[in-house]
Amino acid sequence: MTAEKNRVLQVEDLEFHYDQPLINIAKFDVARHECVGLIGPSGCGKTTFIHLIAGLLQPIRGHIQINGVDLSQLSERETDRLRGRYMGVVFQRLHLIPSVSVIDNLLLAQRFSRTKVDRSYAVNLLEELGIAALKEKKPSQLSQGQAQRVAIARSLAHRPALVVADEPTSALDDGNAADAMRLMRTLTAHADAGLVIVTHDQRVRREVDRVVNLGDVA
Amino acid sequence: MSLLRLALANLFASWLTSVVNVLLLALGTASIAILLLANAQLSSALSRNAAGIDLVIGAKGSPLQLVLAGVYHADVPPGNISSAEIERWQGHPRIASAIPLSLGDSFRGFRVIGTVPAFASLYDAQIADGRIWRRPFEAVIGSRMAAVTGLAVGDSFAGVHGLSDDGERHEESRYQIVGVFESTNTVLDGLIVTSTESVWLMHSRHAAESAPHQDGVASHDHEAVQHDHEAKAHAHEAKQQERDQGQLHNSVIRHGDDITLLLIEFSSPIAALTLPREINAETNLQAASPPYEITRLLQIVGVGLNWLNAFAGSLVIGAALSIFAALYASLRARRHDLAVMRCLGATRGELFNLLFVEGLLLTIAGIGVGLAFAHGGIELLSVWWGKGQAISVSGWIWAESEYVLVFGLLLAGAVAAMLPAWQAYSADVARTLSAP
Repeated sequence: MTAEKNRVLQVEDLEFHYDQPLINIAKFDVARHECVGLIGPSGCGKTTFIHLIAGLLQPIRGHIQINGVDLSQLSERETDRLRGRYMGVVFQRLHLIPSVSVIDNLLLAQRFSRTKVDRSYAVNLLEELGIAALKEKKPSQLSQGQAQRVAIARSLAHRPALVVADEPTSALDDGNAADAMRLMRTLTAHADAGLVIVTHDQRVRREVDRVVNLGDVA
Repeated sequence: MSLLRLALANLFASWLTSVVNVLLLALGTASIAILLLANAQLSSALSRNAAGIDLVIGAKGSPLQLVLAGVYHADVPPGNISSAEIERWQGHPRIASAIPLSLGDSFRGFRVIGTVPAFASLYDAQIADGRIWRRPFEAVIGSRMAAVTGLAVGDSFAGVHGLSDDGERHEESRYQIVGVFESTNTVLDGLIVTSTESVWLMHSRHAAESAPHQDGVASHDHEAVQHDHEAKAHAHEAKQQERDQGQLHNSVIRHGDDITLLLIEFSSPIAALTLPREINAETNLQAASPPYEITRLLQIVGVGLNWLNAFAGSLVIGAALSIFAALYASLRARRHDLAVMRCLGATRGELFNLLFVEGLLLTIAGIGVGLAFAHGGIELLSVWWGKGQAISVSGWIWAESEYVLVFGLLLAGAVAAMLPAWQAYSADVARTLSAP
C-alpha cells in the first residue's frame, strides 16, 4: 500500500502510434524520490512518451496514472489542471517565457498550477540554484547554463509530484551537465517528487537510480 | 502573475509593434471623434442660438439669408420691413411674441442690434456688470466682445456702417456702454445690443447730415435698402431731448420707421403649419423657419461630412486589420511559448483569454490615445483661436455619439483579436512542441 502511494507515475499496457506502432509499454513506474533515466535511440518515441504522460496526446490503449489519478478518466480541462498541479517539465530547448523575468517565469508556473503563488519559495529555489541575483533579468539576458537552471527551478516552482526532463543536458558541457543533473536530483528529492530524465546522453546514466530502455519495456 | 500582467508584458516585449498599432488606431479614432465633436458642438450651438425663435419675418429674398442674418448674425439681411408690422404680428392670435431687430452697424466686426430688452431673454442673458439700456445710444455688450475689445461699462465707441471696419464711422453719435452681459455661449456674446430708437436716431442724424450731398438718401450696410429718413429725422431730433431726460420704454416702437426683421415665437404648435404659409402667400413679407433652413444647410454640408466620416472609418478598419495582423504574427512567433504554457497547466480558455486581452488592451489604448488626441486637439485649437470666434468649441465636452464610437471600436478590436485568440485556443500543443 505504501509502495502504491509512493508511485507518482504508473503506466500500464500503453500503446500509441501515428502510422506505425511507436510506443508499446507493458509497465513503467516511477516512485517519489526516484530518478529514472529513460533512454533509447533517436526516433524511438521518447518525446512522444513525455507528451503521453503529460496528457497532451491520447494513447490508443492503456492507462497512465499521475499521482494516482488515471488520465483517461479526465476531461481535457481536468488533464490540463492535473498536469499543471502535479507535473513539472524541463524542455530540451528550455522554452522560458521571454517576455517576463526569471522570477515571473516561476510565478507563472505556480499560477497555472492553481497552487498558492509563493514568491519566497520561488526565490529560495533560485538561491539554491545560485541564480537569485538574476531573478529580475529577462531570459534573453541569461547564458545557456543560467537559463538551464531557471528551467529546472520553474519545473519545481509549484511543488510537483513528478518532474519530467527532456534531454536536459544535451546542450551542456560535461561540467554543466553534471551540475544540472546533481541539482535536479537534489531538488526533486527535496520537493518529495519523482524524476524522469529522457535522454540519449550517456553521461546521464551515471547520475540516475535506474535506466530504462524504451525499447525494452514492451 | 495575472493574465493581465502577462498580456501587458507580452505587449511591452514587442513595444514598437504595439506602439505602431496603438497609433494607427488612435489616428482613426481621433479623426472620427473630431468630426463627432465638431458636429455635436455645431449642432448644439445652432440649436442654442435658435432657441425660442420659431420663425423669422423679414423682407422677401433668400430664407436662409434671413435666418443667417436674423438668428446667427452671420449674413446681411435681404432688406427692411415697416415697423407697422410689429403691432400687426404682435397682435396675431398664434404669436406669443414678436421681437423687432434693426441691423445696420457694427464695431470692430461686432454687430449693433437695435431691439427691445426681451431680445436678451431669448438667450436667458443676465447682466454681469452695469445695467440694461434706458436711453438712446446706451448699449449693453456681449461677454465675448468685452473680452476681445477690452471695452467695459463707462467706455464709448463709434459704430460704422456695415460689418467691416472700413465702413463710414458715426463719430457724431457714439454709443455709451452701460452694461455687459454674462456669457451665454450664444451669438449674444458677440453682439452690441441697444434700443431700436438708437438705430433709428443714428440713421436719421446720418441722413440729415448727408442730405446735401446725397439728396436725403442714406445707405445701409446691406446696400440693398435705401432709406429716406430726412423728414423723419426732424421728428426724432425734436423728441430726443425729451427722451434723454427720462427713461426710455424701448419696447414701445413708433410707427413710420423701418426695422430689419421680426423674431417670432408661436403661441401654439399649430402655428408652425399655418403661419409661414399665410405670411409668404398673403403678404409682401417672407417667413423663414430657423430649424428648417439650418437642416437644409446641414444637409448640403453633410455630404462633405459623410465623405470625411467614410475616410475616418477606413482608417479605423485599417487599424483593426493591423491589430489582427500584429496579434497573428505575434501568435506565430510565440506558438512555442503558448504551448509551454499549456504544459505548465494553462487551459485552452486561458490562452484564448490571453490573446484576446492583448487585442483588447491594444484597442483600449488606441481608443484612449485617439480620444485624448481629439479632445486635446480641439481644446488647443480653441485656445489658439481665442475668444473671438462666433461659435466657441471646447475639448472638455463629451458628445453622446462618442459612446457609439467607443462601443464600435471595442467591437472592431474584439473581432480583430478573436481569430488569433481562437488559433491559440485550438493549437495542437504536442505538434507545436515537436516542431522545430
